[in-house]
This record gives sequence, C-alpha cells and structure tokens, in this order.
Amino acid sequence: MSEFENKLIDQFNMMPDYSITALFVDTDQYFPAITNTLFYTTEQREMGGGYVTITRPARAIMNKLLAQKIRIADTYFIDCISYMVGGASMASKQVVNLESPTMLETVLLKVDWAFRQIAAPQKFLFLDSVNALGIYNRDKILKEFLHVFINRLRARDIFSIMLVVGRGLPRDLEEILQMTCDETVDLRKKV
Amino acid sequence: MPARKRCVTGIEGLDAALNGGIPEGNVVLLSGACGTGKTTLGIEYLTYGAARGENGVYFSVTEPYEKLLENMRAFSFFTENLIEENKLFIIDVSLLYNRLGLLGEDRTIEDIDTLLWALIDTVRALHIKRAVIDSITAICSRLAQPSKIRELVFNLSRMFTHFGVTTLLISELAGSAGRYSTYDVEEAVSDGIILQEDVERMGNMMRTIQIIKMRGTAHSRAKYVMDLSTEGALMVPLLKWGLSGE
Ligand SMILES: Nc1ncnc2c1ncn2[C@@H]1O[C@H](COP(=O)(O)OP(=O)(O)OP(=O)(O)O)[C@@H](O)[C@H]1O
Ligand SMILES: [Mg+2]
Repeated sequence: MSEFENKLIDQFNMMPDYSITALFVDTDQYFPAITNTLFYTTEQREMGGGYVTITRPARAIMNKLLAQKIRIADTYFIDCISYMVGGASMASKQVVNLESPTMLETVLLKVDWAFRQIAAPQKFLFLDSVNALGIYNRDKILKEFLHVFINRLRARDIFSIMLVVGRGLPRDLEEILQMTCDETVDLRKKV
Repeated sequence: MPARKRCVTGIEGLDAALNGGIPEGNVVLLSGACGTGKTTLGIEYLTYGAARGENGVYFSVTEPYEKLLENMRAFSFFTENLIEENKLFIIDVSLLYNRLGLLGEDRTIEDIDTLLWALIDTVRALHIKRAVIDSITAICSRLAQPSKIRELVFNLSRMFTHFGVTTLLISELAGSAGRYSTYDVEEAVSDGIILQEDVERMGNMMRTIQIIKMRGTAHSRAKYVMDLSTEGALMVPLLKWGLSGE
C-alpha cells in the first residue's frame, strides 16, 4: 500500500459517520483516490451510494472498480459525460446518462434518483470531480451548484466526498468548498 | 378564511411550490410549446388522483386513444388497471364530436352548448374529481370568433368548478413571449396558469416549469427545471446563474 493510500485511509477512519469532505489529490493519485474511497464506502462501511462522474464514462469507472474486486452492486452512477462523447448506449439499471455536464439541476434530480434506488441503510455520494465540472460550467453557476448540492446532501445525512484533482481549481471555488464542506483533506504534495 | 382544500397533483416539487396542491375546483391553464411535457404531466396528475380514489378523465383532442396509451405505458407511474377499474377515463373528443353530430369545421353557438353539456354530463356521470382537456387550443381552433371561445371556456370553467372538478386545460403555445394562450381568453378566465418552457444553457435544452398565477393560494413564482423520465416529472429550482450569459 502506497503512502498516499495509507494517508487516505487514516483520514477516512477519522471521519464522522455523516460528513461532507472536500478531498484534494494530485493528478497521478486519481485512480488510487477513487478505488480507496469506494473500498471504504462500499466494503468497509457497507454503504450504498451515488457516484457522479464527469471525469470518465461510468463504464470505465465501473470496470476499474470491478477489476479491484470492489463491490458496486448498490452504487448508482450519474454519468455526465458518455452522452456528450457519443458513448451512452450502455443500458443499465445502475447508470443514468445526462445529456451534458451543464445540466446541473438534473444532476441534483438524478442524485435523488440514485438515493431512492439504494438498498443499504447508509448512503454515500462521490463527486468525481469538481474540476471536471469546471471545464463545462462557469464559476458563478458552479459555485451556486456546489452550495445547493452540498447543503442538500447535508440535509439528507449523506456521507459525501467532493473530489478535486490537481491544482487547476480557481481559488474562489476552493474557498466555496472549504466553506460548505465539513472537512477539507488535502493530500497533494507540497509545491 | 379557512384554507381551501387542496388537490394534490402528485408531481414532486409542484405540490411544494403550490403550498400543498391546486386549490380544489380550480381550472388551471397548463401552457407550453410542443414537446414540453404537458400531456405527460396531465396523465401523471390524473393517475395519482385515480389511484387515491379521485376519478379522473382525460379528454383527448389531439392524440388518438391507442397512441396515447402506448406512450403512457412507458411511464412507471401509469397504471393501466385504473382504466379497467373505471377510475381513469380517456375520452377521444373526435369520437364525441361524431356522436354529437358535430361534423363540420365551423361551430355555431348551439354546437358549443352541445359540446359543453356533453363534457359536463361526462364529469357528472363518472363522478370525476380531476379533468384534463388536451388541448383547449385544439377545441378553440374550431371556433371562429373570440366571443364563442370566451363563451365556451368561461362556461366550462364555471361548471367544472361548480362540480368540484379540478381541471387542467392544456394550452399549446406557438412562441410569442408574455402570452400563455393562443386566444387570450383562456388565460383571462382560468384560475391558474402553469407555464412550461424550453430554455437553453450552453447549447443544451432544459425544460422549465413555473407557476404564473394560482387563485386561492400563495405559491412560488420561481422557475423550476423539470426532468421527464420514465418515472415521471421531477422538479428542482433553476439555479440563479443558470440563464445569464455571464
Ligand atoms: N418514455 C419516455 N422517456 C423519457 N422521456 C420521454 C418518454 N416519452 C416521451 N418523453 C419526452 O417527453 C416529450 C413529450 O412529452 P409530452 O407528449 O408530454 O409533451 P407535450 O407537451 O404534450 O407535447 P405535444 O405538444 O406534442 O402534445 C418527448 O418529446 C420526450 O422528450
Ligand atoms: Mg401533448
């Protein structure tokens, strides 16, 4: 297990049952970050969840997780990217495709949909990633979205991780995350 | 003044925006351009009521019975049994015209009366609590003069309200902002107006829904984004920065 993974797991073990965390990782730790997060939520805590993916198609993420033998039978994917890149043909009860990552209100509705499907009593939400949303949305609406989204999650007692990859996120978006999330975990190497 | 009894639409978000539902007996214009989801919303509203003991009728002017049914089967909220159990009725208005002998294109005042009473008799005979007319625009298009349209819509609203039928009059809009009906009189006589629109954001179309007016209740006037899936309609407030070009 890498140093990064150990640190991440330590952080998870310190998190309260319901908390909303902004998780900052370096680009080269993207895959370890998602696999370890999903391992913690689905295997260790036996939660069911919603996984909002903007970074990569849901199919790619699912394959990656299944290859690591991570159980995702009770995880529902909100895929914001496949449709746009012309690959949303996958029919699955576990995946909904959004036409575009700019349909932020629809993300809110589909996350509600995911929570209705989940069988486990405890639920999590993983947003992968804030910076990928930032490619398609202007800062103002993205800030507003994060504010609304995070507070909806809080009202529903959802264990949530908002993933930020790399250092490209505008300063004020980082501030919004720090302001609205309960915890900020920054595992990026110091520069 | 005691709060008016509510007709719960069953459409998540809409009831909240209406502070509990449409005041019972209101005749509400549901306006929108083509494909904005008016028919789907209408059927969901009727199905929700019928499943809870409030008989519903859908007067179809624009779509034949079989085609409508075929489209509705895709939605998980739709229960075809309600039709067999005589709780949900779908009436093809073109057949009604035939039965009433209203065959020509133009309608006289007497024809309008005949049609009106046929609609009223139907809601009384079937113990209807909820009605959808899809669309009032199509019915009015057969009436050449505004005075006839006013007569029909006004009397229809009055009688349906009198019998406690909460009604959605579907209005097909062909553009022009600031109007909610094709003939203007529909919006003047209705107790409420719910507007469905398509809005664009960064090249993608989103459906919105907004309560313009609703007599008998306080209500939200905000625009909501509406998502139509096979599970029915869902609403969430439109983000404030959602439409500006900034
Ligand atoms: N099975 C379905 N799953 C998801 N969306 C659907 C489904 N069936 C229809 N729709 C969406 O709903 C739209 C049509 O809805 P509906 O017929 O309720 O609209 P309308 O406003 O009544 O249209 P019209 O003006 O043509 O009467 C379609 O354009 C489509 O986008
Ligand atoms: Mg229609």
